[in-house]
Amino acid sequence: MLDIEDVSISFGEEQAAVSEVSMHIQEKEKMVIIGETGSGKSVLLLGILKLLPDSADVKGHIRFQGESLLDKKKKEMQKVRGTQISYIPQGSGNGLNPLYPVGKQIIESIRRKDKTIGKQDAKARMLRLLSEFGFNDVRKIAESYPFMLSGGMRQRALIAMGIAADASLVLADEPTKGLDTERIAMVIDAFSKLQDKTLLCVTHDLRFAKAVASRITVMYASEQMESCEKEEFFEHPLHPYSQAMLKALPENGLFANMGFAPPKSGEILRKGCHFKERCPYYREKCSQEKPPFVTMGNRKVRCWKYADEA
Amino acid sequence: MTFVTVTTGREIEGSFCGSFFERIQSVMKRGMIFQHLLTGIFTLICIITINFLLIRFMPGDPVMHIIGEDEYLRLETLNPKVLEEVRAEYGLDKPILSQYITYLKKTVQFDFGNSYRTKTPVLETVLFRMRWTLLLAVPSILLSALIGGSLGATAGYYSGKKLDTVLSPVLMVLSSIPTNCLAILCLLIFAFRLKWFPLGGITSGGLSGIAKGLDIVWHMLLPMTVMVLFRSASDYMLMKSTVEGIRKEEYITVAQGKGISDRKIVFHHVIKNALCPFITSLCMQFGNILAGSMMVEIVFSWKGMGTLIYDSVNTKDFPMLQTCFLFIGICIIVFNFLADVLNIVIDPRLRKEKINE
Repeated sequence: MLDIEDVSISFGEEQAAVSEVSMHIQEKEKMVIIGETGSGKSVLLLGILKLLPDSADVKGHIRFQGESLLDKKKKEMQKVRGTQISYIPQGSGNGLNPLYPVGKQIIESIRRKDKTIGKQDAKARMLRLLSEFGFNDVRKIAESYPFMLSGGMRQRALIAMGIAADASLVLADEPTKGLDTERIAMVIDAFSKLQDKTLLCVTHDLRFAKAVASRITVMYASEQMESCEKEEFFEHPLHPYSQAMLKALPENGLFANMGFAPPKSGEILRKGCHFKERCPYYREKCSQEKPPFVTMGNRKVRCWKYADEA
Repeated sequence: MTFVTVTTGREIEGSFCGSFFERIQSVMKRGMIFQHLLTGIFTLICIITINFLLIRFMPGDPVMHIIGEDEYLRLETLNPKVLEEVRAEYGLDKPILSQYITYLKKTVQFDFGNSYRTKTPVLETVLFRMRWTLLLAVPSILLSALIGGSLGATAGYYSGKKLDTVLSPVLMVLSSIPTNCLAILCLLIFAFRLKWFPLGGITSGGLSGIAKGLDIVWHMLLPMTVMVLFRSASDYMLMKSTVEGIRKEEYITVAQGKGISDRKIVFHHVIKNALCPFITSLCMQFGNILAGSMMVEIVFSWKGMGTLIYDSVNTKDFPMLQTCFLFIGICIIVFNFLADVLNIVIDPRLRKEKINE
C-alpha cells in the first residue's frame, strides 16, 4: 500500500534528517517507527504528506497504492491528503486551532469526504465519532475549545478528526507524548478502533508500540537500524540499539548502561555506523564503513555484527 | 501568485457574525466587560484630575495660564481689580478641593471655558476642528488596514516568495521614514513641481454643493495618500510577522494535512488567529486618531485637531490645549476598551472558560 524506498530528507545542511529509509507497508498493517527525539521520524511522516517547508530536499521514491507521491503536483496532493492519507499530530501540541470549538474542526474534516453533507448530518456524524472514541458528554466536548481539554482528550479528539474523512492510511506522530499511564491506556484504546486502517505511527514509547504495532522499525540518528515483526522485536531484538532499549524497560530491570546520547552531528555521523559511540560491540570497522541494511530471513538490520555473517 | 483579499465568503462571515452577539452576551454575563469598563472610567478620572492639576501646579500664576500672558500683563498694570475679579470668576481664590469639584462639574457639563486667543467657547472650536481630522484619518486608517492587512497576510503566508521579497524591503524603508519627511517630499513633488494637487488647506473656497465636496476630496488626496502609505506599511509589517508565526503553528500543518485549500486555510485558520494583534493595533490607531495625524496636518496646513494643538501650543492657549488633551484621552480609553472587548470575543482563552477534565 505504501512503499518507501531509499528516502533521504535534508534541509540544506551537510547531514540529512532522514537517510535512505525504506519500508513497505501492507494494507491494514500497523507499522510503528521507534526512535529518539531527533532521529528523523516525524520529518519522514511530513515528507510522505509533502508538508515539509520548501527548504526540505526529499530524495528517493514514495509510492502510495502504486502512485508516486513525490511526482504529484500541489493540487493533486491536496486531494490525497485527508481523504486517502490522514495525519494525526500529538495531542500535547498545538494541533487544534485554539479559536474554534473541537466539533467544528472535526466537521471540517467530515466535509472533506462528503462535500454536500447537510449541517445536521455532519454534526450527527461528528458526535457519533466522538462517542466512538470514548467521550461521554459528546455535545459538551464538541462545543469545548481545545484549551479546555486535557492532553489525552485532545489526542482522542485528534484521532477522531484524523479518521473523519475516512482515509485508508493514517499517519500518527507521537500520540502518547506528554501523557500519563492512564491517558496512554485511553489512547491505546482509541488506536485499537482503527483495525481496518493502515497505520504508520511514530513514537518513542516502547509499551505503546507493543500494544499497537504489528511491525516495528527502529530509527537512530536519521538511519533505519532494524525492521521486523513486533513479536520478533520484543523477544529477539538483533540490533545492539534495540537490545539496549528493551533492557532499559522497567519490566526488564531498568538496565540502562548506554549513558547519555552523544550529540548526533558532525564527526559521528560523517563516517561509519551512526550508533558506534554507544555500541557495546564496537569494532574498528564500525567507524570506517557504514553498515548495509542486510536481510536476515524476514527481517532487516543495519549492523556489521550481522552484515559480516550474511 | 494568488492574492488574499479581505472579502470573506458568505459562509464564513455568517458563522462569525451569528455567534458574535451571542459571545458578547456570554462575556457580558460573566462581568468581564464590566471589569474593563471600570478600569476605563478610573483612567478617565485620572486624566481629568491631571488636567486640572497641570495648570494649578505650573510655575506662575494660574490666572495667567487661563487668560493668557498679554491679557494678564495688560490687566495687571492697568486694572488689577479686574484681574482679581477674573480670579474670583474662575474660583482660583477658593481652596483647591472646592476648585476641583467645580472643575469636575464643569467638565461633566462640557463647559471648558473660552479660548483666550479667539475668545469663543473652546468646545465649539474643538468639535469643528475634529470633524476635519476625522474626515482625513478615518478613511486612511481603514484603507491602510485593508491594503496593509491583506498584502501582509499574503506575504506572511507565502513567506520568502515573490511578493514578500519584493514588497517587504520597500515597505520597510517606507515605514522607517518619518511621516513629516514623507509628507514634505510628496508636497514637493506632486503639489509644488507637478502641480497635480493644491499646496495645502481644506478647500479653495467660493464653491458649493457637489463642486465643494469634490474640491475637498481633491485637497484631501495628497495628505491621505501620505497617511495611507505610512500606515499601510506598518500594518503590513505587523500582519506579515503575525501570519508568519501562525504559519509555523502545528494546527496549520494539520489543516494542510486535512487537504483543505490554501484559500480556506488562510480565511478559516490564519486570519482569525492573526486578528487579535491586528485589531489591537487598529484600535490603538483609532485611539490616537485626534493627534495621530498632526505632522501631516501641519505640513499640508489641514485645519484639523493636529494644527489646532500645534497652534495652541505656540500661543499658549491653555483652555484649548486642556480640552484637546481631554478628548484625546477619552478617545484612547474608549478604543482601548473596545480592543479589550473584541479580543475577549475573538479568543476563547481570554474568556477564562472552565477546563473540562
